Amino acid sequence: MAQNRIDVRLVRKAQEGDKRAREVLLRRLEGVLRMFFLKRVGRSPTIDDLVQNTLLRIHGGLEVLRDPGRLRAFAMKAALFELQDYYRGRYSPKEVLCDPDAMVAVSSAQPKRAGAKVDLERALSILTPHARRILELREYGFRYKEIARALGTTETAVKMQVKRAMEKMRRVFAT
Amino acid sequence: MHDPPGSLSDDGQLTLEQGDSLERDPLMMGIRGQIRSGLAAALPDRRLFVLHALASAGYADELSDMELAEVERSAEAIKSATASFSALEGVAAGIVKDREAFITCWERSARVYRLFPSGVWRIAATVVVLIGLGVLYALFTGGDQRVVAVSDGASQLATLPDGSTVLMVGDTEMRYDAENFARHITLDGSAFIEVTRSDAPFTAVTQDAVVTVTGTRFGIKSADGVTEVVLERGSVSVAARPAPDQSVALHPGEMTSVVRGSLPSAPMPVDLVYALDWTGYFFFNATAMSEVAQVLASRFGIVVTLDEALKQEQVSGSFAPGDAPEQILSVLASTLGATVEGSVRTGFTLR
Repeated sequence: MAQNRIDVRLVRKAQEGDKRAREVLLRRLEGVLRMFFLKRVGRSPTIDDLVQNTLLRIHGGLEVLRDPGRLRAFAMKAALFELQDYYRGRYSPKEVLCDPDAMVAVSSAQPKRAGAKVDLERALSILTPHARRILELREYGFRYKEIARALGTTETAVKMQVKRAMEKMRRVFAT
Repeated sequence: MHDPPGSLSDDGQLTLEQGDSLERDPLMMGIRGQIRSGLAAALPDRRLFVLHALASAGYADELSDMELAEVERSAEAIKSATASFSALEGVAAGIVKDREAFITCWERSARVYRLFPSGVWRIAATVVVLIGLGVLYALFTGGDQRVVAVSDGASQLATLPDGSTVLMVGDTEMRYDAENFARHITLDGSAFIEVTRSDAPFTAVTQDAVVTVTGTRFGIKSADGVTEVVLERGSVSVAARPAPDQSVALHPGEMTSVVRGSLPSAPMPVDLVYALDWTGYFFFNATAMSEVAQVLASRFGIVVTLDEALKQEQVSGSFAPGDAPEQILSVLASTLGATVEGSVRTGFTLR
């Protein structure tokens, strides 16, 4: 395939220290990555960061790519790693608020919920497998819209599941 | 679609009812925190999970020897994480879809690069391409080629220069000449198209099929070498791209599909409620209220209870994707001379 031949030659040159080849290669990959991240996360200001971070991964790892003909797999994995990191960091500002340790402090300040820390195991056992799966996906870093798509349902239905599960738990804990 | 009262917004915050705050509820925070810390402990390196997902899906040949060794070393830990968090199975499936999306992007990009072969032909080819571009420029003088793309899972309503609308759903791309619009679009993906009436025909071209209409509403899905067309109202003719003169005509409520390289299938009747479900629209055509209630309940995750006398009543009409359940039920109740009570939270009752 012509594309492969071009990439192999470019990768080899880039690995040998040809700055121009490296620049051309990365610019070529930038277009693919931009298209990919646009498809996965939609139009967002974070696209530029995702593309640049992935290019950095590729730039940094190019020397260890033994078979230049495997550039596609190499770039694909770099993009998938970046996407996973993006999901993990998506709600990072809230991680402080939702820190389980911080939770203990909140619980102890509210006598009615003082048993919350102890009862978290119980709370999780109250959840239906479906509701628990939704919460797991949420904490993995997905948005409700994405969860709905993965589960083949609507965003509204997903949100209602979460709300009902929480209400159920609150009722149980109130008794 | 509007968020119902008391629901969660997409950034995880609740649309709150008078000071109620599930998201700020210590119990909710604790549960979320516990799940998150559990996930972090069970899956400290998501990179490994990606490698496992690829290897398990049969793409081990895309992993380096070092990565394969890592996969082998961490197999037990990943198995244990997946057993503890059932959602990870779905996440792994999503990673495989991400891979497929990347390959698609790579191949699309490769098609462009192939215009520029290597070696001594490069200069000659560039000249040819430049001449070609000149010809294209002459053909489209002053033209404004628009590309509208929608990512997977999203949707976007685009209005064309003639007033026709295209609701693009999911991973879809549409191209048209905005300045010299000749009621012609090319489409890759899924869209629900409402064409304004005109003597000039409107054509929608996919990789496999050509759909020609005058004024109508229809859904079109194009992916993996198959184009499906479902007609909601009006009439359309559908042909395979290699044989534009051998078309089939669809009537409302009918569907045809074109498999790449084949002629369109014979039109077959479909239930629009389900055949166009992916558009987000509701299409009811003499549909029993009992079925309408089920469809609404399933789509919105709500409870809809009907008075016994209403269950067999039939309704016809369509509702747009942005219509809230309250709005839809109010219109239906008004049509039936019934009343609607309740809310998204408590469920609705029509009597």
